[in-house]
Amino acid sequence: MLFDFGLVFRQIPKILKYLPVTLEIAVAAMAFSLILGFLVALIKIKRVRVLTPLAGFYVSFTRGTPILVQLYATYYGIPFFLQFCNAKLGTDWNVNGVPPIVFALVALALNDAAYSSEAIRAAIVAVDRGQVEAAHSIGMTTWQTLRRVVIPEALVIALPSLGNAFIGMIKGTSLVFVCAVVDMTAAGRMLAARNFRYFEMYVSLAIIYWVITLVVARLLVVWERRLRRDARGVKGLAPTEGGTRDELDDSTARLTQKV
Amino acid sequence: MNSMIRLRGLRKRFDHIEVLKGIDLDVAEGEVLGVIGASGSGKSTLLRCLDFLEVPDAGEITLDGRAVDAAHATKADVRYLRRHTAMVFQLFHLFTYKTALENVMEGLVTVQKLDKVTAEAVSRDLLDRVGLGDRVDHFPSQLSGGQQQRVAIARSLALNPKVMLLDEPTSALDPESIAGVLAVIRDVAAEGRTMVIVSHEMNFISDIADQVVFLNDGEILERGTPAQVLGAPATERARQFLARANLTLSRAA
Repeated sequence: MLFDFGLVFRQIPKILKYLPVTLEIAVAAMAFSLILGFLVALIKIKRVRVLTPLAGFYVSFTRGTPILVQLYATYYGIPFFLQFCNAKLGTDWNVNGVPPIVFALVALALNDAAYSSEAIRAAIVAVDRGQVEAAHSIGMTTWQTLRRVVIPEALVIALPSLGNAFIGMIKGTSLVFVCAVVDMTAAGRMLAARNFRYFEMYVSLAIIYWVITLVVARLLVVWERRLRRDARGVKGLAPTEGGTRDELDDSTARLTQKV
Repeated sequence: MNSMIRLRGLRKRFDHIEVLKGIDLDVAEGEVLGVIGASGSGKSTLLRCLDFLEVPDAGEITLDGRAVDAAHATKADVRYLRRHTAMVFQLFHLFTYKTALENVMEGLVTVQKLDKVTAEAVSRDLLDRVGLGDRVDHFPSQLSGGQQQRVAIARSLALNPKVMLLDEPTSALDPESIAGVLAVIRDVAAEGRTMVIVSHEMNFISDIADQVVFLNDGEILERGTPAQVLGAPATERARQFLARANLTLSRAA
């Protein structure tokens, strides 16, 4: 048999056992990436001295080098760094004891944060400056304003690009075998090595990744709609009910009709 | 009467332009001060310096007995000024993803740390007062301009500020909405709250203000009762400005 169709679907459950590894790496790396990306965005917006050029260098360097190179660099770089610390600072870290997943997380998070920071920065800058002033004028502190006003609005703006970044992250996890982590793709390669049905295996993997990204994209749309609270109509006031609409003045009616 | 606001030598410069050239001003408790003048005369900047949305370069701001040195204001000073004043903006600036009720509750819950039940009761009362008791669950995008501005006034009132600062509150509204907003402002003034209003509504200013100042090029050119400043201005510049303002008013009518 040239191409074993049945195998493509039969072997899917076997590789799906490694789906949790893939998702764990993607979610954890995304979380670190968002925190780091947010900090980098704040540094750039506030133009913090010394840190701003450093952040610029980091973003430029990371966006200018391939993810595969970055994965290898962390895989060899972190042990090297630990060894260096042991020699110079007298620490006693186990150079060979670093769990492989750490390399994958560090590389993927650092890579993605460079992209996310730009999306987050643009979103924060896009939030209506007047609302920030309004928050200040009722006595809210900078942090309260950020948490209660800026972030909720910036999130709506940044969500589509951060969502794409997350989808990219899920697909990016397929490279972590270079750091000796066994994710879905790595597991698939090992399974295929037994019967040399590599093509069937990659077709199976492609189907799984595609379905995952479809689901994630769908969830993101739903989430975005939830965040845009004002586009969901008014509680107890359906815009289509003729009776209620009569009570609204023109401009309000026009706005709710659109909803 | 108790002094509520006392400004001495307030200065502000943007790059090469000196916007405020040493403003001295006194507003008594319960008094309504109307600030008029051409665009670019420094009206809005004066108002915004009062709660440090613009940081003044020099001078002294005294609010209800506490003096703040503008050049060396501490974080606590700024917090004091902001907690005891509230600004109403020309473009409302309601929080987009919060309902009318949540907009009004925000300061009570976040700044004054009131429990949600009390904050909600207070906020519902205020929205009732500005005539929007039936719009509490509407989002800003579902309200007309006039309604948004009334929510914004309720949001400022919620914090029970010593002074309300109103920056051209009706400039972005259509003539019909203006009446509603002015009625609300009149109602707030009537309860004896100290107010500073920047506005081009000369009739309204003459009606509501106890004291009027005419600002020109960052200086107070005229000050006095509405009858003095609007009725019989002493300077040529003020006469010119008012003549034009009245002309546009009568044309619009």
